[in-house]
Amino acid sequence: MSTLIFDPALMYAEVTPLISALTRRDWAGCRTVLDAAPATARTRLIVLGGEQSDLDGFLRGVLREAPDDGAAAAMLGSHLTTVAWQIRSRKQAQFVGRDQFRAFHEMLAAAEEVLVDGAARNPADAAMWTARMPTARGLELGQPEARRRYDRLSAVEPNHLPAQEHLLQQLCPKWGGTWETAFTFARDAMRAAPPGSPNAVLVAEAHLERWVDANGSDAYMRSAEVIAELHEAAQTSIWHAGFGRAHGWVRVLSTFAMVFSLADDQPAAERVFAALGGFATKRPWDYLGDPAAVVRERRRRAGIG
Amino acid sequence: MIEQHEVDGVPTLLAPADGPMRAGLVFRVGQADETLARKGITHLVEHLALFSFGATDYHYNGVTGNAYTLFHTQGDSEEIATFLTGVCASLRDLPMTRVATEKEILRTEASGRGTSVGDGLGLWRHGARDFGLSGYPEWGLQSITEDDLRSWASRYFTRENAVLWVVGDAVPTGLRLDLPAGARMPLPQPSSALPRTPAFFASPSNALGWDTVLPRDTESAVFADMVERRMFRELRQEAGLSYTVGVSSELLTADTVLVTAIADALPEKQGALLGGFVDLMAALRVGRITEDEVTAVLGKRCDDLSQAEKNGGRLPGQALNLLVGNEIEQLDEVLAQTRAVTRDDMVERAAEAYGKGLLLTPVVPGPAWAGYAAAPTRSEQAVDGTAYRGRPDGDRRLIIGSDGVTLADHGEFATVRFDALAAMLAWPDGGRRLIGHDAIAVSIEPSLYRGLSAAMTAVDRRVPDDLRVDMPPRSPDMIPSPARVPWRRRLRARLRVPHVAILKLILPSAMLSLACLALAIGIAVVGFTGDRALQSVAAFGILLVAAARYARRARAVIRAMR
Repeated sequence: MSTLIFDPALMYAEVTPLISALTRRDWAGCRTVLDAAPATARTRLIVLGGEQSDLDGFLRGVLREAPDDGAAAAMLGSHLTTVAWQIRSRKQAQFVGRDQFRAFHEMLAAAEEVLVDGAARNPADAAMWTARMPTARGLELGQPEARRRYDRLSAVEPNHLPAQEHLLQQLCPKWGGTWETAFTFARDAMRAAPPGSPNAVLVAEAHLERWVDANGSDAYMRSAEVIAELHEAAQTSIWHAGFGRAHGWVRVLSTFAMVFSLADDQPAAERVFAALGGFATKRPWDYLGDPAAVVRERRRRAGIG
Repeated sequence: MIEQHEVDGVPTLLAPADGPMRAGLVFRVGQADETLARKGITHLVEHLALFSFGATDYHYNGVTGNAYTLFHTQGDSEEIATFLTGVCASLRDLPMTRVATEKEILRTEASGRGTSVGDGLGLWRHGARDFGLSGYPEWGLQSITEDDLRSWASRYFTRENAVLWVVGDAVPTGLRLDLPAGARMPLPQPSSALPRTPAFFASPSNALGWDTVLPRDTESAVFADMVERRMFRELRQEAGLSYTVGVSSELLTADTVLVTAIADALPEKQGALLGGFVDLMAALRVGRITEDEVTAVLGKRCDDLSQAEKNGGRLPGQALNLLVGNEIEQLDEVLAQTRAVTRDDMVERAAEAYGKGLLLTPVVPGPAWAGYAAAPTRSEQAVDGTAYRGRPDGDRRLIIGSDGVTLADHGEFATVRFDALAAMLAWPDGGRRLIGHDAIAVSIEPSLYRGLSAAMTAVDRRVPDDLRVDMPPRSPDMIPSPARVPWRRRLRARLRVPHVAILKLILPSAMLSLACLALAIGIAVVGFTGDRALQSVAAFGILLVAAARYARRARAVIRAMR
């Protein structure tokens, strides 16, 4: 059996230099990596960088020197948001204590303060507006505000998948939306993006959310309409000749692999697993349990060792 | 060109303009000079002064503002002279036979008006005094006597405390302003009810409001125009979050202005309107202002000023200026000052405006997430005194002491001290409402507290007559009475445990505990007989752990639910 690779540093060449520059507290080095990346990759790298621990003091220091540094503000905001969600933990809301909720909201407010300032100084920074999507969700600022933030972003950077993923979450019923708006958004985003773009993965994600909501019912994912739509989404994105291995491609393919596997469409799943090689991401596989074990089992079912 | 004259000792501003002749007589008195307990007295004087013109066909009106009262009219020279001479005669000798009727008219007027966004902002910024009074009803009307009216009129409606403006070629011949002698009254000093700014408060409203305090100068006027231009572009044109936006300025002291911005919103867009406004303010605060933007605002402002000069629109503002002790500003002067405003001036003004801002949000959560402080809605401290337990809610306590009263509700205080009392409303049924200078209020319904009735006499004695407002009787259904609550609901309220928690958490953990007890007894019995003891101990342990886990979870959930 081949080994599975979950480490983003082995998938994307920019990750190692970014993390090592962050570890050295070398902001100029970080900026070299971030400034060279295209918009989507830059946003994902900023989020990934923000997941490193103890960045608060360092990034605030950077912002004191250069208040207009959008990358530093976005990464600090993203970092504080990550810390906030760690405080809240992934439990269902009813099992989160009152003090935990207060600390969660305070940390999100701290993130949002940095991001309000950052967005005021850098209104065309896609990573900034993307970072403001999960803060709006956690602070429960509502659907219209989430939409406004996304609209501000898409006016300067249309088809920005990292922000679209957040908006899709917001549009689902668990965050106060409806299935109708969630699916409409996912389908519109798929059609608006040029063929070969990864954005059609939003349709697969919408179905995945619906499946989770139906308590993981196999019947939902195996219906003929759902399978047909998943194929349409795959054809315009991952199976399109123009699909490139830009930053984030492993997550996109992993999502398709999972929905095809759940739909018991093993030939399609096999094709996606084959394209993935040994690469995998924790999300969305962790919906089914330990990602490594789940991926092995699903690959075996699809006939790949 | 604005000319300065004098009519019967009243300073007069005259400027020729296109269109019909107009004139206004403005006095330096308004709601901000009143007290909460006698609020409405200026408005009542204004109505009485205009009564005699009720049946004429003049175009005339009266306005009672925060800091001024204006009588204005439009017509030919003779009509204007007749009107203003008549107003002055009425002010000198108010038609007291009309008092009761005019009070009734004012009450009807108020019930059809409702409070504006700006009034709400005033209340939260200044409290229940001076510039905050516009947020309150005219509670004083009932208590105002003829003597009160005469003394108010002779103090404020005097020739030294008035300015006349006339838009036309000459001051009307035959105009007599026969006003009593008096003194120019200074503006009341604005109080503050905000310990920290920028601040916000949430209030149900169909609009978002924001105000700030700035120096009274050309830069602030240009800044106000710039905010309005941005609001129109960003909130209306680009995002479609608001339909009507507006920014206005009002004199607060002789050298500061209150700039107020308002944007209406559909209920479903209010969350986004708040976000959009917070971002708009943040962009101004960090100085994201372009030269082009400032040039455009300056150009438009100069056009507007020239236009206003032509149609006489600058006169009323200049009259107010004169009334608060400032010099008249001629157009050339103002245009030159306006053209000299730079982008840097705007950056500086924006930072100051943001720092002193107060935001009214129609939605919760308010922008604490953007660094705005919540305006105080409760008091820091309680007074010392005797506590009376509420009924049926025993957690609510009313404390009555020699310094004031406190309502203590689940650990939060509302305190009104007698030395900072703005007014006490008193109903014949015994109900009282005390409102402090900081706008914090305590309602006392004697029937809702055990043993309170006797103590109310002491409260009534502590309140001076001029702070007491006797209210008309309430209809019986408006008088609260302690509701009868079934004992089970009372018990649950006392325990403060939601119904679902009892069913899902407490019952199972109680049953598990009982099972543990049964097993423990079983083990004891088996222990005596010496048989199968080990197995029983294992089962007991498992059940005990399960019960403990369940109890912990129950505790966490109940705490979260509270």
